[in-house]
Amino acid sequence: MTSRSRLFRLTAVFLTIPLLCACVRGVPIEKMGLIVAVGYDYLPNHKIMGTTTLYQIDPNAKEKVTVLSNTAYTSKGSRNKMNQESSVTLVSGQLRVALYDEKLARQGILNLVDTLARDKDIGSGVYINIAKGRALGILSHRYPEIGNIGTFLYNQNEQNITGEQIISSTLHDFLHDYYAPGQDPAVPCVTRVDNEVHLDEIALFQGDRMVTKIPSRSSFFLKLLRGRFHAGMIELAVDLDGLEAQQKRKGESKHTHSVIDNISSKTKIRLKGQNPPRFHIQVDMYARLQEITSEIELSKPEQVKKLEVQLAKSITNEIENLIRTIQKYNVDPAGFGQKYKASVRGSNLTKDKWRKMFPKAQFQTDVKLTLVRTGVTD
Amino acid sequence: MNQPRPQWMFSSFLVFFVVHTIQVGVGLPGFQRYVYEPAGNDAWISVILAGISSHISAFFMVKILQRYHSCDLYEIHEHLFGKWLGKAANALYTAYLAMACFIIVINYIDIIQTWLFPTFTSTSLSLILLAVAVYGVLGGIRVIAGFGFISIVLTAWMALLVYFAKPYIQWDQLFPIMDHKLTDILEGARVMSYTLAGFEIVFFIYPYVKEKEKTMRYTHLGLLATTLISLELMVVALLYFEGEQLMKTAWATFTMYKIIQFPFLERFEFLAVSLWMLIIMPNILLYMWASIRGFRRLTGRSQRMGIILVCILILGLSNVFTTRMRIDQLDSVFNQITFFIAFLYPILLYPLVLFKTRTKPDQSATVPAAQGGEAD
Repeated sequence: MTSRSRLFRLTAVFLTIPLLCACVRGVPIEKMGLIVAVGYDYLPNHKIMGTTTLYQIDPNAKEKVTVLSNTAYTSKGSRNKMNQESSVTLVSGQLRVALYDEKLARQGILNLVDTLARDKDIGSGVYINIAKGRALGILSHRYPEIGNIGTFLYNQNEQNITGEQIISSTLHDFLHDYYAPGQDPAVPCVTRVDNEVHLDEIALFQGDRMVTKIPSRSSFFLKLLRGRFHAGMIELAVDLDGLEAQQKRKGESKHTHSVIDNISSKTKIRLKGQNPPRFHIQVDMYARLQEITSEIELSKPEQVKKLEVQLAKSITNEIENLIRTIQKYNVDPAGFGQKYKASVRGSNLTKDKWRKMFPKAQFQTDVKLTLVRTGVTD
Repeated sequence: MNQPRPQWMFSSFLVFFVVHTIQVGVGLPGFQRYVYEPAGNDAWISVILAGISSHISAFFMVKILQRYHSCDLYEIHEHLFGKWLGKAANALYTAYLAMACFIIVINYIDIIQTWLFPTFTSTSLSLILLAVAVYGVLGGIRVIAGFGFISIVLTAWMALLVYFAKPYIQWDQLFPIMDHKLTDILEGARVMSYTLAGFEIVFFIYPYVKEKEKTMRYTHLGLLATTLISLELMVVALLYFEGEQLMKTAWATFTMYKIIQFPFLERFEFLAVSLWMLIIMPNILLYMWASIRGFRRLTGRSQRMGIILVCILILGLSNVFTTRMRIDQLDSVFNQITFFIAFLYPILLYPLVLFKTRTKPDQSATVPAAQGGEAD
């Protein structure tokens, strides 16, 4: 073919592409309001109140944060209304945290969470939190020391999850645990205490309805049971039985408190029997001692052995307490049902079946703890 | 047919890239839930079975080609079925190839409209895709094979990205193994044919391969690469999603990419979706090229005519199939067609070829290869 026709063809192709690309509407960043956090509050008559925190792009603006709120029947409906209150187009591509207030959560939030997953703009790593009190109260408060409450909540969640202090509850985690027949979601709770925001409790869900809260220190043990645990610190009450404490504090005759730092751990949950389900939980922990309130001769090996046994006993107790609580409320945030499903052939486990079986399940817990080191001193 | 001129031929190792690139296409982003539907947590076994059967079909396909010196399927058809029946078979195959081209275009447009630009019209998107495709097809098979090579080199790293799903992986979800009936697992493997199809292109590129005795080796290597990648994506999806969640996820691969965050790139899947064009473009090129050869052989008209006809068809029809429901229906019909054409047809054809080439050699266009003594 001639070079002329080739040139013509090339030009034609390359002219078409820019022409057609102009079909897409451009979105300059100055004209967008980037939503960082959304909050939903319960209102009667199936209505919800939506609150959003935005990044302010305008450098001349006095306030760094813009908070909009509105009422509607659906979350996207409230976003539409908020758009009318705003001078910029609201977009959800930067959404980091979604807050749901407790009352709403107790009625079920699946449709509100599902709409986040359905939106291609929203990542799977968005953190789900439960707001104690109103989400509006948390998001719209003017904090003297927090620049943008949305970013703050995101960082707070992230650093606590990577530091293994609270359980991870991203959008993906929530939906995964909701759809899993043998597991229920567990979500951290956020409270505003004056000018501070605390992550202090874990809300346990039955399906998509919140049923109870447990203290956030339980998330250490919940994480242990979930087996997605790497490292973390926990304060434990230790029985002094058999330990030669040099000086006992006054009024603290039988117990001492110690902090251990879990370096690595392995949890094996085995199904031993089927009807009723019997589980054997084997936890192997390697930890280092961080702090202890009584002086114990840690240079003596048998004393360390005894301390290990007492610490393990204390952990076993805490795990058993946690299991009793979740059985009482018939929620399974630890995912025992998933273990059951994986071990029983042809179980066709459904949420309903597991709800009937779980309260009757029996557990046997064995904790083996090894103190790897006791710090730089004995 | 006589050997094509040497300057039109390409090295046999490119067969690996051609086979692999045409198999990887619009199937991989979202095949997981279709396989999960019948086979459940045993879906990965279905993928392995489907991979094995693709190897078997490809074996027979290359065996058929080796019975002839340097023929493509159109010539083999005419040799086997005679002039008129052969023409009919060629017409069907040409239509199938054009349809495959169309399926890729509308599925990719659907992906673009869902993930990136909801208001972008199908017409303009297919115009963009077709403009590039026409340019490539006019360049000939060497350009297309080379583009397949580049496409794989530039996108192969994306298979490693599922590493980011690691913190969310739960091995329990793979157990109990073989919890489903064998028929269910086989049904899952059949559904895979949509994802693994494409290797039938070897029927058409074979005359252009330089060292023909190496075709078998490189075809199988290409198939193996595809099987491994689909297996990887299937297993990770099974570990990452809970079953019901997977069933609700239209493009599980892209949704897994949603978990990836870089400090400099907040949302990775937008890049993945855009890069996917590099992956599907060789498919469009190869299918279009093969179907246009069929058209030329059937009608005796110029290649240009064929290109214009195929483009008009795709452009017109892409406006009809704009909703997800219609595309899904068409996909499932196409799935059954590919199962027959890509997987069953070579096996059915082989005995006939054996019979035909064993009898007196046809002196006209097709010359049987020397019997036996061929390396594969």
